[in-house]
Amino acid sequence: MKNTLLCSALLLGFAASAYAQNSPVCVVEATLHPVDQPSFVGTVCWQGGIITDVGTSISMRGATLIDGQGLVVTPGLIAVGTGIGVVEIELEASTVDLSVETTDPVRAAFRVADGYNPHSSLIPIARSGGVTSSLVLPTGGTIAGLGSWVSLGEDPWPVTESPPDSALVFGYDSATADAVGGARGELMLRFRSLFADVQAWMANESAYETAQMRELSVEYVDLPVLQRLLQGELPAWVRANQVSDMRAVLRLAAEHGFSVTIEGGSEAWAMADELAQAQVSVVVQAMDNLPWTFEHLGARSDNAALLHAAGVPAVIAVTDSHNARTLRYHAGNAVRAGLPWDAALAAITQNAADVSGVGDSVGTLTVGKRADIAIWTGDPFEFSTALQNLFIAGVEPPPGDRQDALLERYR
Amino acid sequence: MCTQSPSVADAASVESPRTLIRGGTVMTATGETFAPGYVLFEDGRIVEVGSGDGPDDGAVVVDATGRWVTPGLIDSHSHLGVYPAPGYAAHSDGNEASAPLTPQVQAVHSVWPQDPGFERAIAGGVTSMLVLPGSANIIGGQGFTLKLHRGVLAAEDMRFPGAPTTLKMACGENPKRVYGDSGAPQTRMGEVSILRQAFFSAQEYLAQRSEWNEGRESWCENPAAGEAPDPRSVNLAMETLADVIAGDTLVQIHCYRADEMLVQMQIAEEFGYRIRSFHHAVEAYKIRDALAGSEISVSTWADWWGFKLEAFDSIVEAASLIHEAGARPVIHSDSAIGIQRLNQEAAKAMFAGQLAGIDVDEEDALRWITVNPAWTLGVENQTGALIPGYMADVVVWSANPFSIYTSADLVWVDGLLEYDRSAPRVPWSDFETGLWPAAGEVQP
Repeated sequence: MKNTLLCSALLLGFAASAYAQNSPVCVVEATLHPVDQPSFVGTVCWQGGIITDVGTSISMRGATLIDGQGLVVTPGLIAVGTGIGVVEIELEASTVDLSVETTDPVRAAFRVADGYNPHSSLIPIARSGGVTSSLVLPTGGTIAGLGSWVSLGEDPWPVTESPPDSALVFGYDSATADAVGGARGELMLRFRSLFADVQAWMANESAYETAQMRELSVEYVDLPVLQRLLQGELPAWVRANQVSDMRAVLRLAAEHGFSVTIEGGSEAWAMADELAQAQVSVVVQAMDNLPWTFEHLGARSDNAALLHAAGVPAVIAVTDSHNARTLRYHAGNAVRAGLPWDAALAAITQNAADVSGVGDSVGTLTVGKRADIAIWTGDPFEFSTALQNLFIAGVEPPPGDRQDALLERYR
Repeated sequence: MCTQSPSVADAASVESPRTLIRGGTVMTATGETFAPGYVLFEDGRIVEVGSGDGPDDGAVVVDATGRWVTPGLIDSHSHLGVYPAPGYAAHSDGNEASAPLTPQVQAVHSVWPQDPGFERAIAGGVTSMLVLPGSANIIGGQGFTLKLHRGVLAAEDMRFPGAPTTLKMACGENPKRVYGDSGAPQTRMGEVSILRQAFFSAQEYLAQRSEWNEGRESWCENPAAGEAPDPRSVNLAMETLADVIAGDTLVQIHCYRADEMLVQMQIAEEFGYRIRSFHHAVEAYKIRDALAGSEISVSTWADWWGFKLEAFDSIVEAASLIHEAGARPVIHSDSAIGIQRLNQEAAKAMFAGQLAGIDVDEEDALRWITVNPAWTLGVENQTGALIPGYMADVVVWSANPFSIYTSADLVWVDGLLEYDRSAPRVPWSDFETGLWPAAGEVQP
């Protein structure tokens, strides 16, 4: 975002706030990657924060024009599974609001994004890599809490008054089993009795209110959240890597009728057909290729490629919240390992939006969607490519970040 | 008592086929690129490098048309083998955190040659690395400079022949955090006092050792003149530190902040030893002129930041700024994942520099992962560049190594083809043998 290529004579004295106006803006003659349709050279326009046109023959009357020749336009990238806004320094616990230290492993009602700080140093740095939004997720426990999709622009949650509930985060792995005494069998037992308790409560809420019901294994605040899960209003987001764990998760989901996204999924490639049939999206690490534990014996860098080939929507995530800006390189490495380029872009835009519960409003260059738009000097996955401009809901955020300021100070 | 201790064998005895790589873009890391060029090597050493096709007299010819050829990459900071996969407590062998000063320990005695990470590293074009103890301790122990060869049963058999001894030290948050709750150090000033006290002791030890050696030498010259000197008692920790003061050891210091690096430079001056490299060193760009003047290399990442407070001031342009100042930047990994793509990390750092208007190019970036880490390890006259007489550590890349889509296709170490991306995989590690999934079917 060092230079701004504006060809409109009206905007010679351009300031970042210019796009904040409600006047239409078009990027013309750029290579567009809408994601929901094949790439082409054309024009994309937006107004009032919403994409108004995507095509080759568009009326641009009155619009501010950005010369897109030689440039590449993609949807803003979506970093799923981060702690952006709720982590400042990982090793300083007082700056980390990702999880709750409690003996109760069920924290369904804990909404991590209620602690979101829009002034976090991580946000402008994430934006420098074309990231316009993030799915912020809690950690810990058997049920870590609620994750929320947040915009990295002016309004973190543009529609709702509080952070939207995008998914309920579960764990199903050895670390999660440790939270209930160390055994996976206990994990299955706890989840089943938990869901039975929620169903008992749903069947007879008044008995619960008048203390006419047996003691439940669920805290009062968690019950309505779990109810939304069981009624299909809230998807489950489950951290699992080993084939047997993912199968257990699919079984639980089928028994109780909720939908699931798997995060981690080191061995997902080995059960790709089952996942495709169950219509489960899998969020993977593109560089996960070492047997770090016995749960990762099948880790391989072409996991996303194999999942995609089997028809499983693959999402590529970056675990390091501080370096969400490198998301595009993770996608590029997945391409190196065999994932088609278009699928890799979808894995950090459209598919990421879908698992974040915002597939209707972001993730593609589509008329009616939010103008979360990244303009690149070339292939966004390449190191030689720079981010030229970024728009979040049609607004260009203030340029630069803390690291740019340090560079300037010591240049 | 009067015989010399055996010296370390050199690599002259390697037998490897006469091999000619031709047709590709040969980046020698000396500043010269031949496009197309050739590299000829035999018996572990590079024979010729030049432009054109080269002499194919009886050599195995490798057609690198459309591909790139570079020296094998070198990682100046790895924990492969000492923190191997699987990463269980049983495998946690990188920090002898029983005391803040453990100069007596050697990483070679922790390195597990079956670490599956070694095979992944060579698939990233890496041929040599410095495996260091962790940073829990103010002095963590000796590092181990190794070369990647398959089928090794003893870490010792990976040893880089003739590589100098290295010593890992650490300042800042880690020693404080590890020991602060139970003893000392609790503060940065505590760390400095402990370090200086150790070197005062080492000075005394060195003086006594020198005196004893002189006595031994004079007795060896004329044994008839008197009684043999009593054997001296050896203190392994003090031996190591005495060697540092004597200048025989390359000091590698984990240190993030500019002010703390300057303090470390003062301490080195006080005791008369040299610092070879600051590691991680995310604030090195702030003191790049001082580092250039002191000939200290900077082993750092392209973009890691913020995981702890002393890593808060990282910038991606750091390596380029350090290069511009005439110092030696090194892109290191400190990671079993990062070591698989040092070329990509160097690319990030270089292109960020270019975007900021710093005069830096691919030749420079290549040196950050070859020549400069070779210097950091003290093996710059052995490897790190494609020069006749150097070790035949060579990579053929599928395309330009600074593109994200590029992979290492072929990697030779000491002239031996140790990695071929197109060949059916036979896992290096016993750990990956006989487990699900069948490792031969999986390209990691």
